[in-house]
Amino acid sequence: MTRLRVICVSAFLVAALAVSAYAQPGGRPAQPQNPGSGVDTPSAQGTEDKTRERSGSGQADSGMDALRSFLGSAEAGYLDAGTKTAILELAAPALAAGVPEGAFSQRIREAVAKRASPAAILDALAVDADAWTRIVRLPGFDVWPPSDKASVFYLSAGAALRNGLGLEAVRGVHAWAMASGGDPERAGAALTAAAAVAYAFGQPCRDDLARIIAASRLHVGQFGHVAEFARRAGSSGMGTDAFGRAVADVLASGGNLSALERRLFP
Amino acid sequence: MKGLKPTDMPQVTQARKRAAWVFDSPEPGSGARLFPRNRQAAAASADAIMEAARAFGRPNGAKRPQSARAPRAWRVAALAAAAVALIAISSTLTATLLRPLDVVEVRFTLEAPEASSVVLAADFNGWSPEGYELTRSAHDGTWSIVVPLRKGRAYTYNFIIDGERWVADPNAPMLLDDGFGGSMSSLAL
Repeated sequence: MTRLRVICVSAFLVAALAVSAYAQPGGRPAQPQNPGSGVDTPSAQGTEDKTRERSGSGQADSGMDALRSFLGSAEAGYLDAGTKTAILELAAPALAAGVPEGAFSQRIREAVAKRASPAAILDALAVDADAWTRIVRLPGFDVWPPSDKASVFYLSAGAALRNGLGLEAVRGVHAWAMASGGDPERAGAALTAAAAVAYAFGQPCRDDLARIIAASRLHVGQFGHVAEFARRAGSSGMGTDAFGRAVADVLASGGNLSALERRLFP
Repeated sequence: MKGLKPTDMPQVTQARKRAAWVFDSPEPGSGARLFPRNRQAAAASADAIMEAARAFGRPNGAKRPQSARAPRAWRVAALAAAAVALIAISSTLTATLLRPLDVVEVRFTLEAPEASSVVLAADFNGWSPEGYELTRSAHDGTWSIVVPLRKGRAYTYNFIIDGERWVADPNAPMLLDDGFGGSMSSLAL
């Protein structure tokens, strides 16, 4: 009887510990550090993802309301009423399709901070909205990425398409994430790295490069090195095909960054 | 009968009578008993013994086993309190010890000897440069700032020189077209 009691108490405490560990939040610092927390603050992410729509007019309305509210705030800066109306008009179909409102507000923040002209802002947002809409309509994007990190992913994916990657690259990363439970931030970082590779070569790279980087054993902090290698490879005369082949051979077979560097620069 | 005094004789006689009654009235089919027995007395004796056994180790005045429920309830409550305390301690320890591992301090630097001010604008500060002014080194024209950032994702950023000129970080491993006619740097952590 005593032994049974001890086992029960032990099991209870272990379960309590497990619940406690599972309940840990995602890792934002509790207190901002000097000079700033450097992590996504409410002002940085705005109303990100709180109003993510999938379908239905109610959800789309809430996304539109959030964007309208953002455009009415001081963060919209110098944008005039006509520009704001035009932004709402071009954003409406994307929001209705399920693009998170946070992606729009973050891009507008960037544009306003850079003092871009209203015409440039509208052009850029139209390109982004089109890219995001095409992405959100791909199969499986109604269940991934999860809403709390959707804006980060869409911003990365939009930048990737803007910098020469094809929709197939986004589809590949999505397939990897769905199959392996991949993190949207890692997926977004892989798309950014692949886009930086394309930017470094000045031409599109292979469509599966982002998926290979995401699925590799590299940690996210090493993704930038792949882009750096691309810059070195480009300046040494290597073509994007040879570079992509080397990355695929090494990373897809479980190789690390050193192995990739040896392969690229023997 | 050992130890009985002559004055006890009436009791002895009574016992003999009881024995004779038992002996003469065996239970049907059980055969004759070897020892004299009174059923009621035996039952009473057994009850007394069992009651004494049940009361063994029980505090004085405790009559019913139900009295054990109170200590058990206290034990459950104490166990629950211990579990809550354990969760709280574990959460605090995890938050204190593990969370900093998820955040790294990143030093952003820019060589701009001619600049009078350099600030950092990025997606992690909402592209708002307030509070992100870089400090100029006394030795050379290098500007720098240290920012704690969470690992596991890529960030995009620009430097703003003298409050108006937006430039990408020439040392950043990743460079991208920002869609507004300029470029931006990206850093994966």
